[in-house]
Amino acid sequence: MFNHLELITTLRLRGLTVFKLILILHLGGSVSLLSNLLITDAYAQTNSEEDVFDDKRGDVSINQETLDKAETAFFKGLSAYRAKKYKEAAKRFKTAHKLVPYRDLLFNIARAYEELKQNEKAVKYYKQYLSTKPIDETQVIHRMRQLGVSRFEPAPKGNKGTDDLQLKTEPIPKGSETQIDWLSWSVLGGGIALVSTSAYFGLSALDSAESARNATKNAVYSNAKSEAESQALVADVSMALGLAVTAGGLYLLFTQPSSQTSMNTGVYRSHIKSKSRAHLESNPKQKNAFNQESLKQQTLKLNYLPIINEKLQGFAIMGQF
Amino acid sequence: MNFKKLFLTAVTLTLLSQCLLGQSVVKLNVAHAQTEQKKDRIAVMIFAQEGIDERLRVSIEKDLRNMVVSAESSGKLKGRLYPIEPFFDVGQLSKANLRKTQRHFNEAQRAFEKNDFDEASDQLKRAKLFYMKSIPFIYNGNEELLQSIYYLNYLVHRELKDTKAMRDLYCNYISLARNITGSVGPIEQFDVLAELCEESPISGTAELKVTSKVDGAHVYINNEPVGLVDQANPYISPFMPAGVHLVEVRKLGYARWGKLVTLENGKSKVMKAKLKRAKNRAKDFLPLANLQVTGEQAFSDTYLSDFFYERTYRFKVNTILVGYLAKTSVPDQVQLTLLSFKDEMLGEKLSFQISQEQRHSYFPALAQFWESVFEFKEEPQEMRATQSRWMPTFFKVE
Repeated sequence: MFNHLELITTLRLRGLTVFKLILILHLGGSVSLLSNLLITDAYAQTNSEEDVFDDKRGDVSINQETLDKAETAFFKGLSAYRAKKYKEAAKRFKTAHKLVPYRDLLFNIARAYEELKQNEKAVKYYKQYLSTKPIDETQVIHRMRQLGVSRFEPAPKGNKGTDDLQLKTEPIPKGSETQIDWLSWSVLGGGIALVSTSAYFGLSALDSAESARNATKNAVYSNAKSEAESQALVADVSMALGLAVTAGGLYLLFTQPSSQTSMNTGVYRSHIKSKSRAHLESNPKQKNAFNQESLKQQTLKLNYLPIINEKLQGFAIMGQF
Repeated sequence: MNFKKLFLTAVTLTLLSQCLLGQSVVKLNVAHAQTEQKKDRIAVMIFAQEGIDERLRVSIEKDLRNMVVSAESSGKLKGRLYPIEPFFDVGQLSKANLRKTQRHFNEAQRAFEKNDFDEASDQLKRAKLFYMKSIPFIYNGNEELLQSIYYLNYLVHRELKDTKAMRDLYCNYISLARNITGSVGPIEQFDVLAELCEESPISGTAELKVTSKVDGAHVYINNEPVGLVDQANPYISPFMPAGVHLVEVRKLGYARWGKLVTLENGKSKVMKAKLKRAKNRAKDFLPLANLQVTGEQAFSDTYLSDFFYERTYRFKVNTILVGYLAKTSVPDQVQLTLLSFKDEMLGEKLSFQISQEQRHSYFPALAQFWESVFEFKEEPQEMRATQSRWMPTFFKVE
């Protein structure tokens, strides 16, 4: 990076054209930025391809015997459930779930307890079921409300139920969420770097303008003047670019959706977190609770933008001289 | 001048931070890549010159694919058959339709919560419609959404007190769970299921017939390769379990075709597969088909090596097994050239004279080729696609 700056300064002294300077600036300042962008992009692409073609049979570590046992237990439980022997059904479903932690079994256990009118146990298993992030989250919440649960929090992680998804789908890669943040931050950083370089050139343009004013010889004067002009042009161009990139970075930062909102998410997951969900539970009449929450967040984001823009305007004013 | 120095340092600092950020991202990616240890992916393709029986081509392809599948299931081969057909179709369409499915399903859930069951039923119809649209392009893992649509539909019809539809929908839901997992299941389940779904048409067996206007396509049912179809010979399965199945027909160079079919007890269903030429990836596919491997105009090994290296990258596979069928001066005989690209190396090219009329005359050729590539013996006549069970059937109770 230092080399690039040296290069720029030496080239400037030799009186290179403005366009070349801009090119070099881009190369120097944006190589790392570009590499960031490219890497994250390529990485995201490969990940999506992986998801698309991954074979479900891939690496299920449970052997066939266990699977058969679990299936037998499940069907015994089902016949018991059909015969309205709910206690036995719950027991069988639990056995099956111990062997193969599949989430539908949790739902079945909860249903059996619901029929036994042991609401506390039913709710406990519904919570475990919800912690696996099933597709019918809303229905289960509906059911729990019907059981008279006014307030609940999703079961903590580390339950048996939490591993259920991994039987069917690949876990979300660890780095993906932070990468998206870094992408936007790096774009923002690149923008700010461009803006500051424009400020630098603006100042040096001021310097050369001053030297032009102090010049006694005509040749020196014209040289300094042309240099000042070209520097001012560089400053302006990089300022415009910098502002655009910064705006892009800000846009990315505030509009990038969380990587956890996949296709299989339920209704509420993308909108509300556990706290606001609990809030929603406590006031069932207040249907638009999560909308208000998201509105609040949006207004907060909007409040941030002008502050940053004002700062940038300061930079812009300095660069334009 | 102080300002100038200050800005200079600011610039250097920002650039330095950029550089550091970039490096850490790279490090993170590398670390992530190292933790992932996946099986090798093997692609199998056989191409034929014009005028050669398409059935011969596709049966060689099928047998070679079956060899890979069975060698994998027996544990001898650390690699799995990788479907590269999806690379030649318009996969982007699927995401939009699936998203719409998800949206309507979510709407249905909300309506259900508000006890607006007619609206929920309506939304579920739309969700199912969009799912149907996206079927040729869905992949493993999206079946859960379909199952949920059926289950919620069952709940809605229960609330609407439509007893017959309710029972049928629940039985459909169960059949989907069973068919997708491919479970035969223990003996205990039959009584229960018979009790549940005896009166509905979703019990017992049905006949499925798939016809196609394109020769030499592979038929997939519930994501398992089950057989071949061409113009003269349709694919017939006389005893399919009744219920919901995902039927697909695939051929290299063609966009995939697929539909969801509900088979009813004792009935027969005919499906006409309409395969269309894939457009967007034809540039990847056609050079493979038109490659000259043997003879006077054959490409050099260096060229072939480079060519296949590029394909492994594009198709995201580690190993490519390719075969070319060419005409010979003898009318009955054809020349089968088999070559492999494995571990970034072009393998030995093997050429065989096989009879076009005699069935399975290519078996010794496949066995010899297999041994030269994977360094262990495998007999093609013993190979059959093993539809091994992998997941038991579980579903939600009523």
